Amino acid sequence: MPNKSLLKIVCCILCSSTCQVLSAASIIPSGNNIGTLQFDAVVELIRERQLASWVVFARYWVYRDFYCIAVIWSEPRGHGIMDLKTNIVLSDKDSFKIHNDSYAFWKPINATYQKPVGPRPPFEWGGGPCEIAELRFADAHALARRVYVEDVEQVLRGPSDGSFNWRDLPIPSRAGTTEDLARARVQIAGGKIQRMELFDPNQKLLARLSYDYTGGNSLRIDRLTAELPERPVKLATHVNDVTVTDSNGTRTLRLPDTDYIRHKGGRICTVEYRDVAIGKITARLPVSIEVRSAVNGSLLRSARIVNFRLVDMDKTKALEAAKAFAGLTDEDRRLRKILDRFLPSDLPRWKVKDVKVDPNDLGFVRVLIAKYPLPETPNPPRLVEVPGQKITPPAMPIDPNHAKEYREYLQQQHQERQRQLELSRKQREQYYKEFYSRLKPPRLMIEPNDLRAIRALLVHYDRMLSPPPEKMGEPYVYDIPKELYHISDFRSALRNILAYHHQPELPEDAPAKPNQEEFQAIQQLRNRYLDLTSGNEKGLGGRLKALHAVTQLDEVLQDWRSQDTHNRQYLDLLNDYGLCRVCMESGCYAIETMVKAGQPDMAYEFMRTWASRCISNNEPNDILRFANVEVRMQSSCWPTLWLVDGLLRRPGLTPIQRYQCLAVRAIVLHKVDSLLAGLDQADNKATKAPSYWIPRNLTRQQIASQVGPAIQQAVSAWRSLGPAAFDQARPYTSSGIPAAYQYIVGVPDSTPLQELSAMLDQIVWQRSTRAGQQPGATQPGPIQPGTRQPGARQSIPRQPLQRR
Amino acid sequence: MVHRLISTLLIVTGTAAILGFVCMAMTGDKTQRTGLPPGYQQWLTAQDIESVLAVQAAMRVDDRMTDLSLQTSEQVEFLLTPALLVQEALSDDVVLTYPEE
Repeated sequence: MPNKSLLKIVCCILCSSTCQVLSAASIIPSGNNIGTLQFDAVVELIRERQLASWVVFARYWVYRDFYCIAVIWSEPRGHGIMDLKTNIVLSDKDSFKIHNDSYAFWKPINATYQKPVGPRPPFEWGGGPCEIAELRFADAHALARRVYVEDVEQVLRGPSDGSFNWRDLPIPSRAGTTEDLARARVQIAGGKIQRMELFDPNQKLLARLSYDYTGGNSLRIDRLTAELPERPVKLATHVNDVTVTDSNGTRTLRLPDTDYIRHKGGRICTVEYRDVAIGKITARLPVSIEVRSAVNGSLLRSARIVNFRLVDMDKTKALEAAKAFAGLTDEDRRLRKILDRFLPSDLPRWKVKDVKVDPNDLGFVRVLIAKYPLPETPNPPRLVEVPGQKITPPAMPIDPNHAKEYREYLQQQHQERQRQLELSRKQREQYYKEFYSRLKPPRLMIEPNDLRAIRALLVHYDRMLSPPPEKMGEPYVYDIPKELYHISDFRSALRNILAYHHQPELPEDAPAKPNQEEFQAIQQLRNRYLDLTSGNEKGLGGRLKALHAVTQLDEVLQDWRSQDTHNRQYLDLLNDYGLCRVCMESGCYAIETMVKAGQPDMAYEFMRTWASRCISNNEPNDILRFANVEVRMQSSCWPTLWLVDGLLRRPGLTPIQRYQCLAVRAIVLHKVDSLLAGLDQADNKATKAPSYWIPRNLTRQQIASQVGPAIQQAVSAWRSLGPAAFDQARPYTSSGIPAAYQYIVGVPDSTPLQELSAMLDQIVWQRSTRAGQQPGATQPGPIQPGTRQPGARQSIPRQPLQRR
Repeated sequence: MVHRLISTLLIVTGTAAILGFVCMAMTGDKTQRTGLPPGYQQWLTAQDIESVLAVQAAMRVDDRMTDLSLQTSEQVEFLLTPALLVQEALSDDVVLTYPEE
């Protein structure tokens, strides 16, 4: 018996020493090749502007030398900042392929890009969207920044004393770009990498990584934390050519690209790794990712990775599977046709086939344009002048004499620029004076036949002035040929007529009604989608997509009870999966749809349930972020109001949160009151129905009477904030400031809360000037109608200015 | 002799260090003394045509609009992150890191 015990001890010692040898031979943490994996990811993207929450549902097929991504659905209700649905990406060693059934005409996202893809071009997008095809550069950068086992092996195999010393790793260039990884510093202890820093060829930090292991001594990684610093990015200058005249004569020069920053404030990314059982194998895999702002720790995006499966697929089969998963099916194509035909649209397709207009009869077009006069706009002045004369700057101020000279030079330059700014200001004043002094023609109601003719002409001219189909998506800016400039002018005038004058509702704009046969076909399609809502082969995204289709078909069939039930099921699905933030957006969409369809009572009942669930399931800051975004929209006034009203009843709000609720409430009520006042002049009331909808328990008079007290409450809450009123919540917005002044003055970004205060400030200003009192007058005590609060306008901040 | 050499070396090194500090201080002081935002200072000191064009180009950039699109780009590129992380976890020749989106 003692011999057996001894044998066991010897065996244990041998095993442990073998394990140590093995662990020393491999790099921890590194991967483990188990074959091609299929999994689903729910990616939540959080913003403070444009859209509070955006969720993308995608399926992935990944092997060590390729990966394929298929996006099946996005929330809210198939929307997002960009339409990513049906997007398919395949990346392997040789190429990066993008495919999208929904936008088959757009070449950049239906193309195969050979690798290497080359350097990333300057960023040329603004206002929200960007080009999805630029994913190929992100893929290339990520691969060029990989650290390979062979890079670290030599260092790890060296003598290790178990200390936490940093070691330098020169890394051979793989992509040959400035974004490439050139050097790494690793901190190794106990045979495992504890920390790592990655640098580019200019020795700028790319990422700072730290690794946490199970129980400290285990070889299994638990968490990877990456700090990503701000990175430089080049911005493209759209108008590239400028004409310059100096002593060397007149010549055309190209404006350079501008230096800018991405990842403003830096990012902190956390990846959680867990053991995942896939059939008989257990693998250590990433299961969740979170990215937060390094400045305030707020969540910016996250991904949950689920449903891992081992599949026997190469890249060709993976691409086929991706197309079958996310591509447009026959049902989807039929659904699109039905919705186009039977549902009203915000942008109705003009039926111009039967309209008899000769687009070449320019005399007729001129008469038509003259019939609906437009306000004249004076030519805007150039806002900023740059110096044309060349003055040699003095030497660098090394000694005090030169410093004095340099200061004088700067002072002289400053005076010259002040003179230019003053000139520019006068020009602008003159421009606005002229602009406002011109009499505007009355807004007319366009005659129905004229409206038909204008639409037919616009359709024809758009076709003439569009780039040819073979060039679609290739050039960023399509230059209209000179011989078509007059057509372009006609098109602008016709578009302005539609925008300025009132448009009548034409009978042909109304959607068609399905006949008996079509009705049955629609019912069959709805049943088909109902079957898909319970199936799980396309994951949660597939179920949501099918359920959304069912609600749309309910609307076509005017089965309102069924639509209400399915809308509630939709919210249940989102809530059950913990997607409570996007539930707010999704519910808003459903309410808008019901109101547009003429079902305000159903919308009211739905809104009550939706609001109470959103308030109980979401954090106050998430609700307030949503309200801050929606308060700028016209169509979601009431849902936003219901949410902040509910939130105000919730205990434990901080003074800032309470102020935000009250400010949103006051702004929304003021907006509704103003909209209702202009209701009689509104064009196309059907499409703007959500803006003018009043819940059944309120009247216009009641709303009007609530606005003043709501503003008073908000202003009182702002006053009671103390120093925060002039810091976190000071009325300030950086929007609307011309780009040139943003650059010169170094305008700091305003926060959503400051913008909210600025909106409230604006409303108080409007109401005080409307009441005939002196703007800017403040008085102690509760706000009275006709006084301006909160405080004086502080659009120009007082702290030192710095361009970020 | 040796002492003299050492003292000479010390004097030369010390003088060089002091001069270096003075230069750095003067250069750093240049920005602080003017008290102007960097963009305005660049606009004031732009003389040669290249720097004037650079200022002109920078003046066309609307920070707010650019930030919105850069944020979208960052979010869209995040779609690749799960694939790249799992690919690293499946590759026995790669050390686990984080891709920059």
